[in-house]
Amino acid sequence: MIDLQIPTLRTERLILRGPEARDFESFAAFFADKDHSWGFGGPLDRNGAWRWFASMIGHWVLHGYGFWIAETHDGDVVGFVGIWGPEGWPEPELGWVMFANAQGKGYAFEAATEIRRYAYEVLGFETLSSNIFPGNERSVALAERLGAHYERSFENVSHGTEWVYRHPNPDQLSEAQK
Amino acid sequence: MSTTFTIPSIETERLILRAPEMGDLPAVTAFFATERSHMVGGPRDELGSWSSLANRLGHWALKAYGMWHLTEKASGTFVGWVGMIDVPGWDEPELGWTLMEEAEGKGLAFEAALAARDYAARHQGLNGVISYIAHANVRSRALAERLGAAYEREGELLGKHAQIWRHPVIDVKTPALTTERTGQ
Repeated sequence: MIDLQIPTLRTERLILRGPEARDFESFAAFFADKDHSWGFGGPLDRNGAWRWFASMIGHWVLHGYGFWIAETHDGDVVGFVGIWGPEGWPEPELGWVMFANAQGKGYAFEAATEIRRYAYEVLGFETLSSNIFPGNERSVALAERLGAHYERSFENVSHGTEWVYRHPNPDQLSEAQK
Repeated sequence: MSTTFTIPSIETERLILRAPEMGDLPAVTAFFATERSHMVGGPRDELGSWSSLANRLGHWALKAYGMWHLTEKASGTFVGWVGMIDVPGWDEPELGWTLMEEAEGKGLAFEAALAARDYAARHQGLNGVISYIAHANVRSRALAERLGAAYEREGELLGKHAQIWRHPVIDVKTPALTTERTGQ
């Protein structure tokens, strides 16, 4: 028997919780939208979106961490943010996606800040990076706002060249917050 | 919060049907690199193979049924998978099976499919299910016949033509075929 423990995290405006079946339609809509999902391996048809969604839950089982669903305190799902390290990734990365109706509100920053804290303080990560497609300026801006810096580019196993942005490590982060 | 779901283990004469696990990944990846995998959704690369393993676990979490991975008791090795799949693009839940090449010819797929079908009928509300079979998959069609399934119609699965075979409805008042392993 598998007892999957996904902790719920809270920020000022968001609840970060484990994925559930009722979240699938949001993912199907996101992956159907090429303009929006291209920076995340999209577009994917409904079958592909379902497989991706299910693998996101499997990631938690296999690795003990993964993507959280971000929703407002009113229960509106705004995106998903978490730590993603499937086979072939150079290292687990801090990743974020805000759905179309939730961009420009600082939600991704808020969620990523909390999950990075959780990864360092609870999961024991000593470093984190984020992989960003060249040209994804919105994501680059968020990485920089989080204090991350461009480190290198690499060839992703499934979708070509990506940029690695390196986050401050736990020591640098606590130093920066003094 | 915690999300709890169960993947039961089932024991047959020669096999254990159990949850997919990370240790199976090298064999799954090797299989999806072969031409044999083309009849069951392959080829897949390393990431695609990982994704397949991961989404089988997610399938159980989301649907309360799914694919079991198979351990051959005598050798202790991973030899394939069997179970129920129902994702967008499928007409209805399907009984599917795949055996690694080196494990073929011993009737293991028959043994596994029979056990999975029986368990699903009794415990998962899935009775009289279908199997999609690619036209070129002669072995799989022979197994469907041996399982007592009957050709029903032509179908389509993810843009490819396939035959749809229908399994008999199992009388769940008769004794179960297998025992569930407990305490794990």
